[in-house]
Amino acid sequence: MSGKLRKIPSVSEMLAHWPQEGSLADGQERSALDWDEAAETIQARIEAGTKADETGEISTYLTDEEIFSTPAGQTDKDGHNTGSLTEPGRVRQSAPVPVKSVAPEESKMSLTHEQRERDRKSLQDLARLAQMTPAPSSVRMPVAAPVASPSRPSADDAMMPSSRKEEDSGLVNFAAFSPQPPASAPNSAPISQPPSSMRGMDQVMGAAMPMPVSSHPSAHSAHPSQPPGRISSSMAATAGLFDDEPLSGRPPSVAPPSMAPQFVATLPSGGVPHITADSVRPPVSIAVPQSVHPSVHPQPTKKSGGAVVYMLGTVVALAAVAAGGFFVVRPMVLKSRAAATVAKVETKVEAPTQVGPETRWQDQIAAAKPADPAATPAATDTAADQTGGKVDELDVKPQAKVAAAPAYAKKPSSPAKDNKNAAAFVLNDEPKVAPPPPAPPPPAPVAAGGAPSGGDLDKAIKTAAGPSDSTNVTPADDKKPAFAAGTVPQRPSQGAVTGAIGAVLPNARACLSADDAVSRATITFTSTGGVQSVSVHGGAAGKPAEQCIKGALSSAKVPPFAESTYTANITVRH
Amino acid sequence: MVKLTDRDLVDRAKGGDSAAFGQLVRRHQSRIQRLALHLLRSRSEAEDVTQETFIRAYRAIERFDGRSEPYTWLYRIAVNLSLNTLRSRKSSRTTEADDPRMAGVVENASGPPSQDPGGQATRKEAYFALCQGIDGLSESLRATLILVCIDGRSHEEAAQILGAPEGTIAWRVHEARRKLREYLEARGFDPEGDVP
Repeated sequence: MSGKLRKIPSVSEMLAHWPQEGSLADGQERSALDWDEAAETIQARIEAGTKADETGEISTYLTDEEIFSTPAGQTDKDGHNTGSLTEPGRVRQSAPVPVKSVAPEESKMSLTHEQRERDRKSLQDLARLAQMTPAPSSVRMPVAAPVASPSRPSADDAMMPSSRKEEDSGLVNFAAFSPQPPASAPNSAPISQPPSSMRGMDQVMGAAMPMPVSSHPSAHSAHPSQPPGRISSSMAATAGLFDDEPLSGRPPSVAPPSMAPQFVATLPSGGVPHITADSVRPPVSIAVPQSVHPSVHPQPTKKSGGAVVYMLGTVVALAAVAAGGFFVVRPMVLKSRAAATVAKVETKVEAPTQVGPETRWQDQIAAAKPADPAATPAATDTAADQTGGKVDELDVKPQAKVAAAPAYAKKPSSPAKDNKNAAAFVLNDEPKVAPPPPAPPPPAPVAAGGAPSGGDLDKAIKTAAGPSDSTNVTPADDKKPAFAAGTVPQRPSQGAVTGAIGAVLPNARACLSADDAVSRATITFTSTGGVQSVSVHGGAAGKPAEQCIKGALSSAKVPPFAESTYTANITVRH
Repeated sequence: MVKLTDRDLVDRAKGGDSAAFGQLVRRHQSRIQRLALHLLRSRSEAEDVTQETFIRAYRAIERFDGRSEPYTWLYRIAVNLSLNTLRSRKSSRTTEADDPRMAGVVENASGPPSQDPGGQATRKEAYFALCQGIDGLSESLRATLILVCIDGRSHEEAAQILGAPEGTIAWRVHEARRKLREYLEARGFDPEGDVP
């Protein structure tokens, strides 16, 4: 294509060097004398005071305001690229209109701003035209009805005639397509309808609305393009132009039969004969004209009431499923936790020491305890698994302790049954209690930790939790982790350390006065969580405040951790 | 003799000195007529518009407040009159022979035979196509293009004459050139230096 193009100067150059029109068309050059003659002619006319319109030289006379106005001012078309001039030989035709400051039109080859606006408006007009499209012959449109509520818009109102165009907001008035009571029926009685302001709620609740078209068998044949049970809420939707009903909100065409009785009960005895028992009818207190055939009802708004029922049913069903899941899952979780607790306690406590109300739980545990102590770790593992692998420190115990625990002479039971019993114990607090032992045996030493024996629950828990007193920890134990790796965190979490120190830091700060310098303290925690040592540096070192700070910080405690020690540095200031 | 400025001539004309205004006419009538010629594509109509421009300017010279140059005032009147005449026209001329803008082109094309006859013909055709392309522009684009690209007015002057911002004037010039370039390319011409 480029090879066929003829080279010419640039457009700018051609325009800038446009051949001077100083020469006439016949080749005669216009001289200065000619220009003087033209100027004298103008001056003569000025002196004569003639007007151009009087001589007919200027076809349309312009006023001074028009002639001094901006000939091509800023318009909304400026700044918008338009189409190119692709039509050779086309000469623009302008309409004889008075001079305005706004340029009248853009190139005909381009899509002007007005055309774009016209297209946008045409979409709105299309919706109106679709509404004005006559319905199929099988559907008789309602005629003007003597309705008690005069404010109810008619279908014509929804079509928004040109007389109301100034009020046109571009929105299709779907409310105008709400069912109209037929007035042409000779025996029709006036229908008491709510005011228009309540119509929206009426549509939602399905009250005071004529019978849905879907309640009649012929309704589905009104528009063959729609599937049975799908009712469009507007005429435009009926015409198939668009769907004004969301998918999620599409109710079934027929309401559940459970709703039928109340609606039927509210209908007059001489109600419409085509109303069926399972059709949704709102509790209306209106006199339905007997001669009204359902086919004359316009497209209904039944979808609103059905949608509410449908949504309520869905919500109830979901709630039921959630509740069921809760009651199924909840016992399983509690069961697993109880099993873990049982396994822990029975490995820590050798035997119950008392018989009484406060020791009934031990008996219950003993009744639920498996005969084989080896099954206990399995129960613990199961509990850990069922709790998502999260095992707190109370559930943790070395395997050696379990092995060292003496066997219990209890009635055999399966681990699964034990879990069930444990769960029942936790939930009901009324377990099946085994007979208490005949005589309380003497306190037996705990397998590990030196925890005091006894039937007290707190003591048992303390025993299960392990030694919390540093006096029970031998120096040899400080060298190695007191807990197996993996069962406890490798080191205390930052939050635990912060919380532990924060609990005792006010006491440490109280040891310093306002004039004391800032001190730093190094706290060494043992694996059990206690404080092994506290060293104070800074301003308080070597002063009485040092001991005060040490004493205050020594009371901090963090959860047990796997490593032998953990050191934390803090700053102590008043 | 000191040459009077346009403002001086206008001041004198306001005082009733028609000769001063006549001098103003002689200064600007050629450009006013050229502008009208490109807008109207008719010599007779351009002459009428030129005369009418000065007559209307003289009658309303008291309304000239002096905030702008007198020639911009005259140009505005000429553009308004030309556009009004153009809108009231019932037919337009499309033939090359009738187009007065092609007078100078034809005159130059029929110059000495030593010049390249093929180039002259191409030039003539290109100008005629350019005239058609200009006629296809909108009034605002066409008026701006004529003022800036043909008459050589600056963007500021064109903005004062047409009553539009300078940015708008610049955009109009660019848009008009783009359309003309595309139009010429569609007619088989390759404007040099105009990057699409």
